[in-house]
Amino acid sequence: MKLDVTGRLPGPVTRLAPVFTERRRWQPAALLVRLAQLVAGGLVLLALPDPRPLVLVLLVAGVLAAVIGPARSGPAIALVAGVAGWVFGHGAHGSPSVAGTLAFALALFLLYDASALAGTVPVTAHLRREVLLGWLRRDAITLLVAALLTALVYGAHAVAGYTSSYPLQVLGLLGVVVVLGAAAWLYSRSVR
Amino acid sequence: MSRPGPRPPAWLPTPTLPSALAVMAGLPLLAITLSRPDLLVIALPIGVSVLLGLLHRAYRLPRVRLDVQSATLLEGESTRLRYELAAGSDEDAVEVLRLRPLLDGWVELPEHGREVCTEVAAGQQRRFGYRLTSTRWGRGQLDGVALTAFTGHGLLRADLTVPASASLRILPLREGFTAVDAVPDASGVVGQHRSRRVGEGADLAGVRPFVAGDRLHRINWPVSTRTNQLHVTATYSDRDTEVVLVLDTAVVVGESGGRDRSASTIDQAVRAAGSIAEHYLRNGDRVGLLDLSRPGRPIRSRTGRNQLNRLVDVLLEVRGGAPGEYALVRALARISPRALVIVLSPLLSAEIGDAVAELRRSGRTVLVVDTLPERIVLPEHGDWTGLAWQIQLLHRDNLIAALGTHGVPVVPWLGAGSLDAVLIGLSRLAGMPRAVPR
Repeated sequence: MKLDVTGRLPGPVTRLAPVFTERRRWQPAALLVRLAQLVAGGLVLLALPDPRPLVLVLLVAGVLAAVIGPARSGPAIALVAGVAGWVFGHGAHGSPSVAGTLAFALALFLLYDASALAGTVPVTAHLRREVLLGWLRRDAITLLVAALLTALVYGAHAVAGYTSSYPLQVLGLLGVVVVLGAAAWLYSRSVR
Repeated sequence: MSRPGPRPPAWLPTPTLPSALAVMAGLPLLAITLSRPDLLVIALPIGVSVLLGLLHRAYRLPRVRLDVQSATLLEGESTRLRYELAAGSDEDAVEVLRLRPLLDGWVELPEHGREVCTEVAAGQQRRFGYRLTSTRWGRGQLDGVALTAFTGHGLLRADLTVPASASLRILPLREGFTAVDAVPDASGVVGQHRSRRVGEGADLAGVRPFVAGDRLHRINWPVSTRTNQLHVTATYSDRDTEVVLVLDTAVVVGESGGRDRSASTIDQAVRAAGSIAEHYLRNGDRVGLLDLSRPGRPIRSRTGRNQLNRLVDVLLEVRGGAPGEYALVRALARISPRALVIVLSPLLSAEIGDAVAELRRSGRTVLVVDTLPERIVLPEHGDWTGLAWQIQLLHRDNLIAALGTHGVPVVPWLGAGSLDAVLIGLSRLAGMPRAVPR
């Protein structure tokens, strides 16, 4: 067993998360990002329709794990639990309201985004203002583009309806493949 | 000091990327399968974020330059650690750049400066600094900076260490030592100490009748007019003195915790030696140094600022260690007979007591500065540590008393003025007639 600096065995909190051993060096800006994660997790929970106990436990555990260790699997667990809670909450063929969907989508994005930022900034690091401003600027652009695409999706749904249109379903499948392919190409692209 | 990596670093996916791709692939498929547009809408912000992030990802890291404002500090003094970051082409936009300076030695950054996260936009230059504080005399070293860069909105990361080298000298000169002008043996040609000999100088020695060879500008006209005989004003000549600092680091006790914290015997000795050397060199005297842990490499007595630099460089390297008996005797025998020998010692070994007594017997003026700190942190070696230390202190008291009988004063190091009374006493003693055995 590894001993701590005083020569004693580490306590349960220290064993659970080494980050607690450095709590005196925590920086306010990095804590703010963790707080944003917690708030986003709470919003996801609030936006879920009638969450089941298992989903609830997974989501809470995922959010807490994401706050303590954002560069690990905590954020992924929280995202999966949130999506599962949404799908099971509305049933396989449910039709949630547009406002509820948008609220949930926004909360889930906030959780994802805050976890991504928290993963880059250790809780003891000094986060300079320009990082936060740049990050928020890119978020604003992302949400703007996403809002346009959302309008397009709901517009197409209103015009054609996904249940009846097979060509639209095939087009959707193709779209998924193209988007994933584009992501893979952008990732593997070499230096210009 | 910095080297922009010629090759782009290896960008690796963060755990965010697989989870985002899972959402991007899973939710649209589920939306199509279940004919639910809401699932597609939920996936949209995350998908857009991933695509935009990867589209504007960086390939190269910005150039990082790191340097320190001042290369020489006093104990507890601060300097500025300056960062200079510059992104090159339009593509090099690193969103989060985590910087961790690799420091070694007696320097530290404040809590909020140990690891810094910043952003460097394309074609942008960014400059900022953090306070770098010296904690103790010695040396500090900046070995480089560890970089962790994130791009693609936190989807990709790269780790790199940029080498840099800057060394800091932390001088043990914060004590602000001053002492009286009195020295037992003023010698040499020029200086600021009044010697016992009459000659060119500023201090009045008296008025005496004119003799052939006296300079005309020395004639005291009021006295000459009154007595009808030429009289001249006599002065004491100004001379310098030679001070040899002997550093005893054979026994090291105490914990070196930095300025205003716990001190070891070496800390006390080095701080005292630095302050005394600076004081006497500033007054134009010649100062030499003999570190008894390296008796074969004494610093010969010289004057001037260069000598102070030389002495400080040697003091920064003091590590402690016991000399051999023969080497100790040889090193001490080389000291000039007219020098003022200041031994800086915690007086915890009988060998140094014998050596100091021998120096005094040979006619040299010796003064011992006690470098045992008032409060000392002892390493715990069992139940008998306290008792063993008490016995050691009794031995020390005996040694101090024995040195007193040999005419060697022992004074504790208390900074400014701590040697005044003893120096005055030694000067008076030196002025008295001596019985010399023939």
